[in-house]
Amino acid sequence: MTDLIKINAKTPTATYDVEIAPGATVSELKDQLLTKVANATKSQLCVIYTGKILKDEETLDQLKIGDGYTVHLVVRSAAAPRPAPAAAAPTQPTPQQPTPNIFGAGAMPSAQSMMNNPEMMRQVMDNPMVQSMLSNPEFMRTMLTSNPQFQQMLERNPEVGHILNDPSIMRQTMEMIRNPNMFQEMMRNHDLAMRNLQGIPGGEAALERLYNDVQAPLLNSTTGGNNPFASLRNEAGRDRSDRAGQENSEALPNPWGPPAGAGAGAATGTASNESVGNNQQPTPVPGLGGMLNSPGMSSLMQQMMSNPEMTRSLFSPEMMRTMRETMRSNPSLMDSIIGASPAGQANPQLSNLMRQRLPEMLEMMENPEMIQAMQNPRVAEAFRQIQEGVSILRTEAPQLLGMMG
Amino acid sequence: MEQSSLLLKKQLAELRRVPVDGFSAGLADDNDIYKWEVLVIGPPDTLYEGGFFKAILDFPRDYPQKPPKMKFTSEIWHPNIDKEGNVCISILHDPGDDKWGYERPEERWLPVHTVETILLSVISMLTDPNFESPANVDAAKMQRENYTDFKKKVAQCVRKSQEE
Repeated sequence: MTDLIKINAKTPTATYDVEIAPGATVSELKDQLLTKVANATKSQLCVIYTGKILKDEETLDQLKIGDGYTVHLVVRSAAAPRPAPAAAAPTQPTPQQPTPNIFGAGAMPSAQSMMNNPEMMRQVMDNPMVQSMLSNPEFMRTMLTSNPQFQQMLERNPEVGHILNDPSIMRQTMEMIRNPNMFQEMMRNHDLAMRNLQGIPGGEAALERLYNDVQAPLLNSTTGGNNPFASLRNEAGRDRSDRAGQENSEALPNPWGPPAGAGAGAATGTASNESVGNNQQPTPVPGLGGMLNSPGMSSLMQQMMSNPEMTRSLFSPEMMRTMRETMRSNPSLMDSIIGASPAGQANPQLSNLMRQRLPEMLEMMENPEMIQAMQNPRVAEAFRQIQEGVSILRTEAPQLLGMMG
Repeated sequence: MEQSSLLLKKQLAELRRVPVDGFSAGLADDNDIYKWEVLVIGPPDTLYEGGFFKAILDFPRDYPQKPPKMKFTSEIWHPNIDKEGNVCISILHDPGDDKWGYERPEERWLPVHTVETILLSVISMLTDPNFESPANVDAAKMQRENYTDFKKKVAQCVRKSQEE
């Protein structure tokens, strides 16, 4: 056996070096790389050398790749598999209500699938209506304080409460949800700041105090899996706490390159969305998708819908007007919401019906009596009860529900 | 041996050992040092991300006095790449004064340029198209007026380049 040669495989963000026999095939090189590249399958790896994408059966000596040579490595994003939303699959027959109501039984799964799809999430977040909602600190406060998970966290860590009183932090958080890149950039800045601090005499102690007072409780509160932001802490985040107290000599992550998976996933997600027109398929993106998918986040959505006060503010005339305007000016948004909802996907008739009825619905929303009725907390309560009832029916007696539909 | 082929051999050997981010270069035909095959990796965070675009670099015998020609053989939709795939950037234009007065002499070909600097310009062109002198007027127009369609068209090219 001849001596192993060292080969560097360079991605836009990182370099992996492997030692391999000079006569090895590209396939064997990929196997070696797989042990180093996180979250990738062999078919995603693409080795490029001298202007060519290398084929699996070619050997390194054929290609004249010698010791110390560098090849390009591109980790393609996974082909977007369609996640079967657990909620929708077994409960097919959604009752077709006379006037499909976006806040009716169909709304919940739609919200959830929306959360699965970062592109759509961004669209929603960019929507003027949502922005006006989010820039209303009062509204956000009610929404957060009435969330049981958040309450729990607040009880344990009262110092976090000031977040609620600071609209700029809120805005930043929302911005973060919208923009995973920004989240990474923020993390990077924090890392840099930390490193600088460590260099100052006494800085270590200050950091330790900071960690004990703030970061530890925050991180602990994520362990329950109840925290909507828990899954944002990906691999890199996880060893952050393990590393505490050690000097951080690693290079900072390159903010412009896609870090293994996340960035690339998002981008091809966009590309594949483009291909199907505006009809997005939920594209799983590690990190963001995980967070939005977490039980905490979906319960936040659910609770947003079931809180009468919240519903009332949702239905305030001002809100209704903006909503109407956005829906009218941007029918494709509505279309993609309908298309992406599992209920819609599973039942083309229903989604067609919803699309057809859209103008009617808009008209309905212009009717002042209707708006008044919707603002009535008791009406909202009644809606909630209907929704609850339907969901009980769905779990307890799906056959019955099918008959009704 | 001619100066041009020596220089190209040197650049090729260097790029083989330590390639530069964003592209990979080799010879299209091992016996012809003047014809290079280049694979441009779609730059991250652009519409071209995920694509592998093949191109041919054609060097003249009087390189580096005169610039090479670069032509994409993969389909690529970009304002500064004409529909035949020819790349239109100022540093690939023959040295001297621009007869139309658009480009300053220092923006045009200079013998100090190498394959690396050319490709880096091409990659930055993919990131930031230059609308002032579009080689593909339709692409430039589409990018300005109908960005959604433009994105779709680029995404098609990216997908196609992955299958090649």
